[in-house]
Formats: sequence, structure tokens, C-alpha cells
Amino acid sequence: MSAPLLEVSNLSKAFPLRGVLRARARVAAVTDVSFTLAHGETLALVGESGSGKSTVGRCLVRLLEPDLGSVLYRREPGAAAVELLALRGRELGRRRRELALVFQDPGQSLNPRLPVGEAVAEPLRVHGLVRAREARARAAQLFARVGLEADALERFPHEFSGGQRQRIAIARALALEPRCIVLDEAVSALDVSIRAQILNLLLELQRERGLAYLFITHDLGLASRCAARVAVMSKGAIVESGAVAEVLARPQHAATQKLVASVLSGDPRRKLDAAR
Amino acid sequence: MSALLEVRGLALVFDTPHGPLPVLERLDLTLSSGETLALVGESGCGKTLLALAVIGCLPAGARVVGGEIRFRGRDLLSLAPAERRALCGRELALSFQEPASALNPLLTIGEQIAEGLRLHAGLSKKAAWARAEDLLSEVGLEVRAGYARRYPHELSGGQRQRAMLSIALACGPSLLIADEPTSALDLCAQAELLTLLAALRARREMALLLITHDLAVVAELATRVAVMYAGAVVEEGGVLELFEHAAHPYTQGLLRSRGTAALARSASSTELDAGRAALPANLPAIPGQVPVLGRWPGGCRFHPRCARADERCTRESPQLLPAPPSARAPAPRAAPDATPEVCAQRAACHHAGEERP
Repeated sequence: MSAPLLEVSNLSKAFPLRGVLRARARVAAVTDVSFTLAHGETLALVGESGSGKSTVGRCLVRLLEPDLGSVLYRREPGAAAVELLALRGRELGRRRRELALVFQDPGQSLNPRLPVGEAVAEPLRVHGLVRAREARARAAQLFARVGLEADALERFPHEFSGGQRQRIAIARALALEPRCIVLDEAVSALDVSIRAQILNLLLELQRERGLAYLFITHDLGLASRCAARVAVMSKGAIVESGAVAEVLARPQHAATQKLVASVLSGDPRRKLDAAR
Repeated sequence: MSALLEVRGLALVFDTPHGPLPVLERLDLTLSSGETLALVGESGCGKTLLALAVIGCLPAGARVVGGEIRFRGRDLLSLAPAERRALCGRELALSFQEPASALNPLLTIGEQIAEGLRLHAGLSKKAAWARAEDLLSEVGLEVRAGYARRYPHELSGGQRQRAMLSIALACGPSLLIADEPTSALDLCAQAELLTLLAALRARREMALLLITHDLAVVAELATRVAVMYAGAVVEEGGVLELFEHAAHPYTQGLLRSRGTAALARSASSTELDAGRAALPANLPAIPGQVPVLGRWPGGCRFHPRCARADERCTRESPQLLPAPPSARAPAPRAAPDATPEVCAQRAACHHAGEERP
């Protein structure tokens, strides 16, 4: 196997607890998490609410600063590895372009007072990649690619449905031509019929651009539809990982077994109670 | 057996500065005692407004302009406000979609349950509190852990949903409307809550109107299903008939895109080690967007997203008719507690009897 895109080792992050009496108490959100993500691959990071999976995603793009650990990044399989967590200043900005993040609720992650075309063009300008006029043209191209009309550029986030807003968030993530996108419950809030559309868009973009995805979700069934490998988190640690089919068929850890048992069959002849 | 809840030709509009905007048109629903009817539809198709219309809590600007809502034969819409208040919360109850915003953040969970009991059942403060603790343990929130004295923010999402259920159940309703009870929960909490709902429904012998967009949730609980699209029911029938012999293209599309674990497509570890795991293929999806309120297409409202649509579909709005035998389940299984007429599968599609494309 060639050198991976991301090599995450021993990542840990604790948050301070609030309150006068607990001034020095900390709660461990992520403890000693290690995994790899190959170029063009999807790894599903699965776990219950509060298992620490979003914290891992945010540490990777350095929205949060991890306390410990290492994240080695290779732009190409043959390239020299860069330690993402050691980057500072200009170099950090340059590398950060290559890792994008899509949140669960674009209703909250898009600026309500910014026309969505501006929201997509903004990162291009911030990173000084293109001039103002080109940024607009580039935003229009991205909108066309994610299946939005060109006249949508002038409109505001509230004028779009949930599925369309998620398309905008994806266009924004694509703007800087990343190598990897962290998808943090990116389709969980969508209606079932729209969810399949957005997943298909993500899969097409992956095939087209060789993108790697860290697909964060609580739904093991969903993970099995778009990822080949899965890592299961519980209480801040990865408790099990492997090929999705095998983890689903023979879950070893209690947390994984609980997740597998919670996947609904979608068939009125095979209900939850019968499976338990 | 007479129906518990009967909605006939319900029409509802939103008043806007540009005139009334139709939200529901000619909506029919029937629910018998003890039955679980799932009302399925995407965001913005009007399913929550229907629930609010039934319990009489429509938001400002929304107005019923036609039809009737009969509960045990009495038209709720023509009742005096005091009579209706006496019924809603006691005989029919609603558990809201987002417990975080439906619960009062300033009152403890116990106080919020007791409030309804004192009002409707006339219990003393002490008796209402004791009953609230019983209700909480019925939904799996143990008394010893002191849930009754906690505030909504001290509970997890799943616990809040349970707390809201116990408020709805407090006065022993014969109809519970559950609006998206699990869509804000993670999968483990969802599985637990569905199991709880099934047990509560069976133990209390109440009817359940389950509102959801997720057919996998429907499969777990429902005996009958009504599928809504753009303000109207487009197909209804028994849960097995509908899941195995859907006649409407929209229902068929929803069924194809439902979130089942597609194990066959997942790569095995030998393929992974060899680095030749195929990227997953595209999933079946319904193209297009749900039409925006008030900008419904003419004719069949689903035609812009439908592979079978022809010229007639753009012109003529289809009626909800019994599905032709070719599209229907071979031997419709009549539920023991429903009349055959209620159980019959009906679809609103000009092409309901044809082969799938």
C-alpha cells in the first residue's frame, strides 16, 4: 500500500470544564486516536452522539488545537510528509486549503447576510488565489458543478431548501480544490430522497477529483453505503475498525454491536424487536 | 367500527402579504382506534401543519378554509374554544418535533407534566407530582435519578424526547400524534425510542399518528401509511402492501432511496488490502426538488420529478383512487381492527396500473 494522505497518530484533546470549583478539571473528548486515510478513499468515522467524532474532524482541519498527537499529510502518494499540527502562519494557511470541512447544518454555517455566491467566492479571495472578477466566475462554475442555477449566486441562504444549502456548502468546500473533505454529518439532517442526491453528488466529485473523505456519521447503515472502511468511536477512543462489511457482519466491541443493532432494516417484515 | 379521527377535504392556507398561500388541499385521512397510521412526506409538504390543525395550535397566519376534522364523530373545527381545549391535551395529544424548543426551559420536567394533570384531571399538586414521576418511569426515566426535578437543558436529546412523550401521555390520550419523534436523535437513541413507542402504544391501546420523512421508521411502527406530496395524500394503504407493491412513482422512489445498509456493495478486507476496493456506485435518488409552497406545478404535482410523466400528467390532477389490481398487492391483507374500505390501497397517479419504467 502506498503512503496515505493522512496519518493520524495518538490524537488527544481535552476541554476545560466551566465553573469556579472545577477551574482545573478537564474532560477528555478524544483520547489516543490513530488512523490513516488514503488518497481518494472514504473512511467512515462512526459513533454515538458525544463519542468525540466531530472533535477529531475539527482537530484535523485545526479548527481545534489538539493537545497531543501527530497528523502527517502527503499531498500526493509520493510526496514528503508534512506535520500538519506543527504548521504556523503562512504555511498553515497554504496547507489548510487542502483540507475542507462541511458541517451538518448549512443553515447555521452559512452567513445569513452574505449572498451565497459571495460565500463561495470569499475563500478564493481570502487565500489570494484569484482576482475579484475571476472569483465570481469561479463561483458560478462551482454552482453549476453542484447542480445549482447561476441566478442562485445573488440569493441569500434562507431562500434555499436544506438540500440546496448543503450543495452550497459543498461548492464552498470545493472552492480551494482540497485533497480531503471532512464531512461532519453532512447529510444527516436532509430528507431521505434529498440525502441520496447529495450523497451521489459527493461520490461523483470523489471519482472526478480523487478526493478523500472523512465521513463522520452516527448511522452505520449510511456509512456502509459510501465508505469501504469504518472506524468506530466510543467515549473518545477508536474501539474497532476495518472493512465496513466485516464490521457490520461481525461487530466485536459492545459499542459497535449497539450501533449495528440500531440500523433499521427499512422492511416492515424485519423490525427491531425481532432482531434483538 | 367507526373511525377515531376523520379528516375530510381539509384545506389550509397561510396568509401572506401577497394573498393566501395554499398549504393543504382536499386532504383526507382516517384513523381507527388502536391503529398506527404513518404520515410520510418531505420537509415542507404540510405534515406538521396538519398535526397542528388537528390539536388546534395553528401558528399565526395559518387558517383552515375548508373541510372537517372529526374526532369520535364530533367536528373539532365547530367546537367552542373551551370544549376544544378540554379535548386537546386529554383525549388527543401531540409530541412535538423539537423537544428542545417545545419544552419550557424555566420549569422542571416534573412541573411540566403535572401542569396538564392538574388542569385536565383536576389532581392536587401532590397527586399530580406523584403521577408525573410514574409517567417518567413509564418512558424509562427512573425516579431515583431525579429526572422530575431536572430542567430540560440537563437532559440529552433522547431523554428530552422521552420527557415530552410523558407530557403528551399524562392524561391518557386515545390518540397520540408524534411529529418526527426520532429525527433529531442519533441512531442508537432512535432505536430505543422506537421500541419504547411500540411498547407504549400496545400497552395503552391508543391510536398513533406518526409523522415522519423516514420510511425506515414507518416500517418499524406503522400498520397503515399515507404518503403526502405537496399538500395532498398521493398514496395510502397497509404497510406491507405499500412497501412491497407501491403504486405511486413517488412512493416507489422513496422506497428505493431508503437508508438500508447496502452490504453487498461494501468491499471486503481482502480487496482493501489489495488496494482495489471499488468506489461505491451511485444510490437511487429522486431527481429534483420538493416544490416550494404556493409554486406547485399544475396537473400532477409530482410530474416534474417523475420518469413516467406524460402530457396528461402536466394537465390533469389525478384523484386518489383504488390502485388497479396490476399495481396492487396480490391478496390485500385486511388488518383485523380496520374496515376493508379503510385498508384498501389507493394512489393518485394516472399511471398507477402500469409496469415500472
